[in-house]
Amino acid sequence: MNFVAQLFRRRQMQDDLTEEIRLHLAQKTEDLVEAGMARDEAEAQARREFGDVTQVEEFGREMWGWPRLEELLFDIRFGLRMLRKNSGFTAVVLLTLAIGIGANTAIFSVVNAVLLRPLPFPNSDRLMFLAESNRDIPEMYVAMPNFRDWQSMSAGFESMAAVRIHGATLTGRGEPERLSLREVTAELFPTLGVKPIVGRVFTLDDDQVNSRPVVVLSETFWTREFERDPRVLGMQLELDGQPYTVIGVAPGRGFRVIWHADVDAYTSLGRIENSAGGRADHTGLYGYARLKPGVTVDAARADMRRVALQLAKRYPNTNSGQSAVVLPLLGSTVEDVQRPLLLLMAVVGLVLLIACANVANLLTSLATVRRREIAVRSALGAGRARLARQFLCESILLSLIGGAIGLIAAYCITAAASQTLTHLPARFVPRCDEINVDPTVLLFTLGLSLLTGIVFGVFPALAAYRADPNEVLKENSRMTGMGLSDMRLRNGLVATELALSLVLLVAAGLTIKSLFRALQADPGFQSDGVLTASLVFPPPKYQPGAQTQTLIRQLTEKLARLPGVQAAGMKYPLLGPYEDNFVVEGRPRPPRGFEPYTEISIVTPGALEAMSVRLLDGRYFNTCDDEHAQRVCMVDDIFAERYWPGESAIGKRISIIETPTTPPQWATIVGVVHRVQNDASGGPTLPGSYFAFAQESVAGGSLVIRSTQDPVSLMVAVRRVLHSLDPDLAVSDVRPLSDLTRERVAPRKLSSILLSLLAGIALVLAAVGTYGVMAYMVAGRTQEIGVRRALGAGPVDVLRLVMKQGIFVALGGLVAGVAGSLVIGRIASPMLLGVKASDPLILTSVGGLLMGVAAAACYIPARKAMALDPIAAVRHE
Amino acid sequence: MNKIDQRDLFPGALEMMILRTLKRQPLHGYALAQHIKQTSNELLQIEEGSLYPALQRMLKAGWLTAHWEISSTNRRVRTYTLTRTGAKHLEREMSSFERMLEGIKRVLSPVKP
Repeated sequence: MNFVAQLFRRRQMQDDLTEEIRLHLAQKTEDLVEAGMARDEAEAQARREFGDVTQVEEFGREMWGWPRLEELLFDIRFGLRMLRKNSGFTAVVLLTLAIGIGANTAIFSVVNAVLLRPLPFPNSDRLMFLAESNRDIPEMYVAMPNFRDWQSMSAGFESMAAVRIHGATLTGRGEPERLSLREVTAELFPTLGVKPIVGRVFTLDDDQVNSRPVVVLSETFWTREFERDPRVLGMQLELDGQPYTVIGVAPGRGFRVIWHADVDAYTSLGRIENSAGGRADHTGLYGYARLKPGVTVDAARADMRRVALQLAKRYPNTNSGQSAVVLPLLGSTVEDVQRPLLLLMAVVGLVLLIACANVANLLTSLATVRRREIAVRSALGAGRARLARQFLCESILLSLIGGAIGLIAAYCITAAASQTLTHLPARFVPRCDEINVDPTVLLFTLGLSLLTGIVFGVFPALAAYRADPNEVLKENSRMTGMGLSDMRLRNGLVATELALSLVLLVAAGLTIKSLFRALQADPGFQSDGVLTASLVFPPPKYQPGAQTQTLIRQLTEKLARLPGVQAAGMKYPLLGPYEDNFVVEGRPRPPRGFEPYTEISIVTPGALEAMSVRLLDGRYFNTCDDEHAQRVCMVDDIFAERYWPGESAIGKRISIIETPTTPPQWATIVGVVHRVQNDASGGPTLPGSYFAFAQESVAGGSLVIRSTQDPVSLMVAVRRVLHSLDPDLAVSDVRPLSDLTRERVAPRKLSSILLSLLAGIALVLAAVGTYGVMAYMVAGRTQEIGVRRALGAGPVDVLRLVMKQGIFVALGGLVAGVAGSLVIGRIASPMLLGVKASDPLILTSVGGLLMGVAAAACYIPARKAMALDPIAAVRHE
Repeated sequence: MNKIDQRDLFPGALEMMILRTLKRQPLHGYALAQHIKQTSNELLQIEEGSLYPALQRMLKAGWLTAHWEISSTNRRVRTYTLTRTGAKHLEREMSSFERMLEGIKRVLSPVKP
């Protein structure tokens, strides 16, 4: 019989059977009456000969019905009724579950959007990021000639493109504007699968040396500057004084994701290839490639290593010790946030476990209260499996409703989080604007809710399965018996909760402490009152040399004379990595490739003063340290300590190794300054050195201006001074230095806030759990306590009785939690700025907090026990 | 369900008797019960009720169809009719039953000296 038809027919079939039986009995009775039997006797006889009517009907129901489905529906209906009946209990459980599942959904939706979702390019799983590496630097920019060799020698890629970070000043359209550019080879757009919105992208002809200069605009720039006018095609844009013809507009979304920033326009890299640097120049260039179908990442990587080895053999001077880095593009894009996000996911997982333990406890209590109900049902013929299923059904029902509430909460949280993260000045979470609740998240939440329901539902179901109805029914109505194994289970659950929340508290404590360390750490400069602005002297108008140096000198002097300004200068880079090898005069030179690194900064006179970098020895640079004077430099105290411990570094000479073949250009140390923290990661620090702007060829840097007034009010004056010297120069990133330093600790701040919040939730859940178990224990032992009181035990003895058990459980949790924290702390140690998981202050304070909360949770029921009237307690039913 | 099965003579015997009876003519449940009782000369002590689970089973298996009608005695009855599948099943069962019976007979027949 057809399944669907059966669904509709089953009621009919059952009714038919019932009717048929009725008629059968009626006819039998009639026949017997006709044969001369009295009617009532005949009826009895008919029934006797028929047998068990109910059983036959039951058989029919099972035959035609869907007994499992019907039982399930019954279980659900019954479960809902139970939940309504115990509404207070239900509310607590639902809230607990909503918090647990909601937090997981929220964090998972971030993980999903940031780490899991494919990049917005066609077949993006085949896209790779390419970089070079050497013995010391795991990932560095690619030298242009190397890239060209990779292109021709590698076998694993369909296509390969190079991109170089660049900037240019846009003039001829009002106020000059500094644009963020990417110089790209013609292969970039086809490799990533990006089609132009308007016009075309680069052809190989556009990408030839000395071809006509053309530019592709980004969608954002096109929108901002040209209001999406398609007539922009064919227009001339003046970039660094040179006219470029606009040939097209490219969509910005995918690039924004992989570059973590908006770019204004693209120009051809191949066109300027001759000036793009030699094999030793690793400046701002990296590659993208698309794997051939069927080629694995490992195969492509091995192939690229082979190519790099060949190049190292062919060009030992520049390429020895160098290799190629091939990373999946998605992985390399989200690299920085992967670890913190997964850690956060683990943390919310722990919160959910605590919630589960809590709910399991509550349900087990309820199951104990319902023991008689269960015993009666099982005595009436309900199978144990059936009862266990009933419990599981109730718990899954609970977790599904809790999950639904959690989902709604997570939806609101993620919407808000996406907004906040997107509008942070530093977008440290890539793709944060994509965070939302999508089908994957829904599926995750559903699965998680089901799993949760099963995890916490198993305990009461097991208890129901094990219960012997005889025993329960024989017990008198007083709730004297509280199974030892039952109690042990609940104590274990509470200890687990306490241990897990201790781990979270420790984690929160550690991040907060490392945040404080990051905030309090002496960055080596003072950011308050300092305005910064990025300024570039674009070629061909400005060439490194006297003209630029004169302009810089005039500019900084004019700026320093502005009212309220105490010091002004230029520094490159403002903060951040710029590292190179160096040698110290008179010391044996290490073998090639093993020279030490130093963090370099190029500064004008006034720059270090403006940032209040403390001078420890010697002098700052002054205007006499120009291109005609002897080369000078400054080092920081770490540098001085390392190379000249116990003596003055002044007068010693060092040299940067620009290329292995050039002879050292010795620079004399004229001053020693305090260490400047260039990044906030807290990683190992390289010795720092400072060189004079006037003696180096740098095409730009950041203005740093210290004033007594609000830095923001200075912005207009700075622009005016600059344009009085050259109206075609553009400043960008004009902002207070304090903004920058705040941004550096923002991720750390965010993670401490999140962790503290989650740890707080965990602690509250654990406290509720402890309280629940203790209150249950007191209720169960009311009679015993009454007897003890009647026999002369004082209130303090009762208090001790209750507290002893609570503290015992809490201590168990404490020990397990500390052990867990030490393990977690070791895993997370790279993110902790040297704060150890075994930090005694954190462990003792967090442990104390936990014990305090546990004690408070025990004290409330203990007080209730103390206040018991012995007479009433003994009679307690 | 198990209890009902146990009252069968042997598994499938009741079903075979029902099918055999219905092969001759469509009958309703009560008549079927009376018929089996009478033809077996009341030798088979079956509860009348135990017919119905067997009937339900066979309905579901598609060996029988059932429809309501008015009997010759002017009563509303549910008459069962054998289907083609049912007839085929009966034939198969009968032949295997006869083989089984033959075997039992041979074993049970007195040993010839």
